[in-house]
Amino acid sequence: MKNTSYKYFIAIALAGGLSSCRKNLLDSVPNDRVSSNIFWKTENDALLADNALYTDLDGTSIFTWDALSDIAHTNQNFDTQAFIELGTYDIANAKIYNEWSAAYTGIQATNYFLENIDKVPSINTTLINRFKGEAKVLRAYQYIKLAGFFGDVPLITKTLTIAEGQQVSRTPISQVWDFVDKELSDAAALLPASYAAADKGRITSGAAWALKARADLWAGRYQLAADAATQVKGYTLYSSYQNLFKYAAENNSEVILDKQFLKDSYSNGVFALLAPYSQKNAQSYYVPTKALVDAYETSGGKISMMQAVVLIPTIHMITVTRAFVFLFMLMGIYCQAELPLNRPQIVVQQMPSEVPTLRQQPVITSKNISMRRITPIHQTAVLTSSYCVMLKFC
Amino acid sequence: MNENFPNKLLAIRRLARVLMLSFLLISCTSFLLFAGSINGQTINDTKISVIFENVNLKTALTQVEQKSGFIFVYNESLLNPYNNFTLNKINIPVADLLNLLLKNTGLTYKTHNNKVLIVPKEKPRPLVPKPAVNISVSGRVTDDKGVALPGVTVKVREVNQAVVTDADGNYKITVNEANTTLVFSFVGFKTQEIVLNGRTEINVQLAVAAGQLDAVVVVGYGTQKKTSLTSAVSQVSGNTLVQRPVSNVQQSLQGLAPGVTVLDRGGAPGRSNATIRVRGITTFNINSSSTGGYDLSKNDALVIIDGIEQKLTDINPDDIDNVSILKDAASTAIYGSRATNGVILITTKRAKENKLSVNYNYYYASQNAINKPEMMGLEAYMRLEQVAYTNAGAALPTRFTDESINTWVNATDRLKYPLPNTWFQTMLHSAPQQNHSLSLAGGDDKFKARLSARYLTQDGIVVNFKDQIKEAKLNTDYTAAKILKFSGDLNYRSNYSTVPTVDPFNNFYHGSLWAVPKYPDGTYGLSTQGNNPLMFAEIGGLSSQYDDNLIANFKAELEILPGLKLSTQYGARIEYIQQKNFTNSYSNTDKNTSITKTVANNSLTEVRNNLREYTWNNLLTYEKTIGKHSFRGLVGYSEIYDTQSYLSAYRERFYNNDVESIGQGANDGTKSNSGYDANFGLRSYFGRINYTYDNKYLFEANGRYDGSSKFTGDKRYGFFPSFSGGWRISQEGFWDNVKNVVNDLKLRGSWGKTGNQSVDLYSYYSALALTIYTFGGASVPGYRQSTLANTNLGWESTTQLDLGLDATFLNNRLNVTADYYRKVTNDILLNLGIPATVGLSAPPQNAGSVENKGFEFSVGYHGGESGLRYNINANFTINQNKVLDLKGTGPYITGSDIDPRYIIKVGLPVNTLWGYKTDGLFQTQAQVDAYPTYAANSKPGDVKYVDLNKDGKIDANDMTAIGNPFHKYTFGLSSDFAYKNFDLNFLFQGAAKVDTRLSGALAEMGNQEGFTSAIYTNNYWTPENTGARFPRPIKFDLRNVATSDRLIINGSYLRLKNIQIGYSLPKETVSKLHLSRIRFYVSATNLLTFSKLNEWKLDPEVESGRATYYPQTSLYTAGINVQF
Repeated sequence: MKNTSYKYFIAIALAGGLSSCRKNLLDSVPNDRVSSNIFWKTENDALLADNALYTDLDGTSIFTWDALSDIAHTNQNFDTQAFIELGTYDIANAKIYNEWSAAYTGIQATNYFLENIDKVPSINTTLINRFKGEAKVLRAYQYIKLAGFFGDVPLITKTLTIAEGQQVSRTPISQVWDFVDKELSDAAALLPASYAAADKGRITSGAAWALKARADLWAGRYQLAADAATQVKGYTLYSSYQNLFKYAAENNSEVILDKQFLKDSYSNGVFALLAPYSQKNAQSYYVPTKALVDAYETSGGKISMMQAVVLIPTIHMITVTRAFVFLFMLMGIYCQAELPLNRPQIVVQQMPSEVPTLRQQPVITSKNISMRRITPIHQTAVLTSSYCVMLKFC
Repeated sequence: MNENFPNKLLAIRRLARVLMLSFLLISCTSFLLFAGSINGQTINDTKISVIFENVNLKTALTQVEQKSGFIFVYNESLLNPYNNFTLNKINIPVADLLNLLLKNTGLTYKTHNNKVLIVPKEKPRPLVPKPAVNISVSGRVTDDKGVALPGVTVKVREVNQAVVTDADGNYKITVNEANTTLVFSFVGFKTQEIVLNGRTEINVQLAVAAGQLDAVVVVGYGTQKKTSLTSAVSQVSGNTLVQRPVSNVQQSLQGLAPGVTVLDRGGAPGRSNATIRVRGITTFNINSSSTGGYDLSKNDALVIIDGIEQKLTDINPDDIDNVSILKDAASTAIYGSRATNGVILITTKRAKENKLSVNYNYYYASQNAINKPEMMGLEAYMRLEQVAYTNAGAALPTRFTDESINTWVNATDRLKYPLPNTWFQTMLHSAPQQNHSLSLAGGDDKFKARLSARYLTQDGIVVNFKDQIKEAKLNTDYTAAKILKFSGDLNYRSNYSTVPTVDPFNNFYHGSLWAVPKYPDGTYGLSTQGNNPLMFAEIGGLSSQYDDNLIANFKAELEILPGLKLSTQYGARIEYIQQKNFTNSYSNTDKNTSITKTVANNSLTEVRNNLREYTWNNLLTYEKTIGKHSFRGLVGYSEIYDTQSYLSAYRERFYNNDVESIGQGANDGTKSNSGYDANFGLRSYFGRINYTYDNKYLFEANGRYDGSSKFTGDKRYGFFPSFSGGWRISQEGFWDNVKNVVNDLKLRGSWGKTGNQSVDLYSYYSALALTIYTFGGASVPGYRQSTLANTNLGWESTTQLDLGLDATFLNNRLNVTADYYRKVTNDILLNLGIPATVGLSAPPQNAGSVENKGFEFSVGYHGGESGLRYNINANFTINQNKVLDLKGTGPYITGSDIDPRYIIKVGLPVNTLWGYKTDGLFQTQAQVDAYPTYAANSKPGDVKYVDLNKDGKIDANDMTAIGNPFHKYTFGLSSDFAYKNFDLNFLFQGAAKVDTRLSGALAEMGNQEGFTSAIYTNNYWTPENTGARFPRPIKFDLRNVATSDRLIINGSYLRLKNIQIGYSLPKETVSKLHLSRIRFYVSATNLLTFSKLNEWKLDPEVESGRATYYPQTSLYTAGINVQF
């Protein structure tokens, strides 16, 4: 009996031994992400961090801005976007919060980058400076957008802790413009006028100047705007308007700065957003209005200024128009014919410091965020779907 | 359909072989001897010569065996009494020799397959049956204290004859035979069988049955007598669970235990989404950016099956022996950091007796949608639209002109003039569900095993929804020595389910009007938006999922000293999920309207999701009683290691829709894949002490020290203690006078702390996320911060107080349990909305408190006489949920004016419905002008939203709490009756003080292009119908359906969840078939429902929202149980 117990005891001990204590059971280190502690060690780290900053450039959200104005319309009236168009919205509207937080996400990323870039041991100061220039422009881009939407906004130039974030207050808009002016001038000096093929799409000195011109227009600093605009050199209009918005036309001669999409691997959802329901996964979210159509020079020769374009507080001097012009491109495909349209004129107009066509409404305040209610003064005859536009031109 | 299972036959054959083997193993007994065999010879024609001199029978037979070559099979003990054989025979046939040898013994022989069996002689049977002799037997039945028991059934086992004891416990029964067995049975007492052996007076003392006072309750890492329990634990037996033939256990737990709320929200076959909440909601789900996959929702109870954490879904109800639901901190604290939401302990059945028992259950059920929402009548709907367009000031589309309405209404060709919405009528059909479940159990003193297998098939009530579960489970117990026991369990379960890749249910309601479901030529009609749910379900593509689970577990228990036991258990749970989500390419043109829907490219998303979890539990337990003091103690150590990996791959443009293999898709830039890995560990030390004095005063303390890899630094470990005490008043001397009425009374109280570690993995880890961007037409990677790391992250902890009483009355026929509890959860992990200016996603932080408090009552009565026996159990729960603190932040509001809007705000229940109060409809323009309005140019017939803060405008500041999303009251009433061979059981279940906010098409009354409920018929405001319930319709305008109290519907309900009637064949008939039991039954679930939602033709258990889910079903079932 004693003998057998001994045997069994060994069996149990063995069973225990098989499972044995895992010493580092609780020290599981994830292998599906990169620790921030091991980063900022090489030039390549700097490059990788710099690449990531570009993802904060706005993509298809620029359509939503157009749809807040009179050149376009949000098709589905239960879209949060549509409540803004209808004037029945407040601070709780997700669209407003998203614009605010997206901008500050971009700002945090550039701040974090600028705080850490000098940790990289590199003797290639030109490269490091170029990275800094890129980051500065991308930060300025977010502020131009913010100032356009919200007026006075907190001017944040370093990364914040939660506690610090709770203490921020709004900076007068003029100081924001001052900051943007300086940053863009500084950055322009650090950036090249063009890049080698592999780096096409990065921010050039031209893009910095162009942005500055846009910002100064908004700020009412017309002379500065004019000066900056004259620095934007070396761009020519692209030959085929129809193809302008295809992936293949990325980085054509007309582009100053645009978000770089790549078919399949980094695609945009433009088709799904704009194409008619009957197409694959298409939702026809945003549709153009007659105001946009009128902005085009028709084949009959009538010229209409693209008033609408400048209403949208964005720096995409070209891509603003692209947004909705893209619709026509889509139609071009479906009509299987060249559109009888000439390209719209892009005119640098003198703009007052307030956006004229937006009626101001009482400000709703909640904590440190506040914004104006934006209501389009006139909702022109809305074309109910892109079908109608198609039929009209085909 | 079976092409997915080419190995089905093989699998069944394999299963049969396993069953056979185990059968053999069990029936193999120690004294049977086997050897070779002889060809074609019999003992009559095989002659041998023998010389025996004073040998014993065994030696003689051994010689015969050796010389004849026949195999002799015998039990040695039978041969022992026979000695002194002297015999000398030459060439004698073996048969004759055996006759000689066994002549004067009590033995004889039999031949069987060349074997000779030596068996005892059968007693000669009388040639004619003995004439019936009537013997009168009488006696008295008392309980163990000698108190007379009236109403005890005294039954003759052999025949169907019974009497009942009188008021003094006396009985008298007439039997036919001296050796009859009498069976004494009484509710609440152990049934006793006594063989008469010629006696005519039998006095019996019945012992109180286990399952009553001596019942043992499964608790964390052990068991405890119900009488000495000091914590709040509810028990549900496996037999009760199988009364509802539903496909998952969550559903069958509904209504059976107080404090346990089961939200049964339908769910497609194999993808059920029933959830269990024990004592309310303790935490918010804001922090839900989980890694996906297996992360269980944060309010789910911890489910432990046979010591190993497992999924409750899909476990075979026929395998469950009992379910214990641990509710208060005293019972749950031993599970420490995972215990806040209660613990569900499931013990599966094991072989108990030494004989082999076989159980087979089969049922066939027909599933039907309980509710089919009804669309407005054709004309009524078209008139409504006419009004809606007119009210919107928009031009009337041609479809809704008077002329068109006439044409449409009078048309008979519904292919040309389709009805607006017929999806509920055309797509929901009844569907079969079948379940086979077989179990074998048995063994001997050393080795016992229970083997079970299940095969369930469930078709969906919509085409292409389907589920199939195959399962086998083996539980074995091996007693190596009195002090050493082993057990090993193995469970394999495969769940194969399919759903259409494009979910059709949204389109039942939305964006699918005026489409012919299917033309006779097989093409589909399409709505303006190009939708047709039938088309999506039938040809949109199939999403199939294999969910394979393997659970293995080994346990050893050694009694080191009397009362001191050491046990170790090692368990592994492995789950592999494989999904193929295929989207078909197709093009369909509505021949009526020429609208075309084209899916140009087919595509496949293939997913692999693997989980491995290893659990190691070690326990040392000690028990000792010294005089009136008894002690029990437990210390334990446990480790859990979990690793998961997820892989997803995508390709498109397959040759056709049948080539569904990932390698066959286009190998270009469109292909993509992604994945993640995760692992976590939990290390725990725990212990328990019980002390009982004189069976009267009870005390218990528990503690667990948990360390989790989800936290770092000094927050890594947390300690979770609990204390509880009880006083069995009924054991006191002064109670004796009332003991006849109140047999047992115990007061108990507990206090303790538990935790919740359901935080995303690596929340404390400062990491950079991979991003993708493009330069120069090529993809480039990048890295960035995305979430702020919070290294200070700690456990959520819940402090719970519980006061309860357990009492039994009326000879233990009536038992009552009542509990009051208050549960406060602190340090709730949530992603506090950090200022957006910080620019990163919020990390989880310990903030906020939530309180749940309430009462639980349950009452059970076991009653009945000889003929009719019955049990009635009722339970009732009140739970009040309240957010106590959000650390000065919030309120957190989710949702919008067109969907349910929820708020998490101090003072309100978690996720309270939030919106406008309303005050009827504006009836005149003067009223409109005199009051602030929600939308500009409001008109009579519009909803009058209340300007709550009186600031002259209707905006977010006017919103208030408008509904309670989680049941405040839940109740259940279950009963079973048995009369002779019939049995009946039913379950009523309900909830009250809960609200539902309908949204989407259900709420929008035809304003959009959606389903429009018949409830609106003639019931919307027009100048002629100003007393209408609903406001004026305005096309494409949602002003009247903003989230407000108008859209809140009282979600209280009471429903007959289940009713079952069974009939067992009489014993005599059954035994002729060599079976021990055959029972047939029919049952129905959700037969009867009382609810406000009935008028909407919706299920009362629905969640707020658009109701775009797989509909709830009712089951009509016929089944059979066979035992032998």
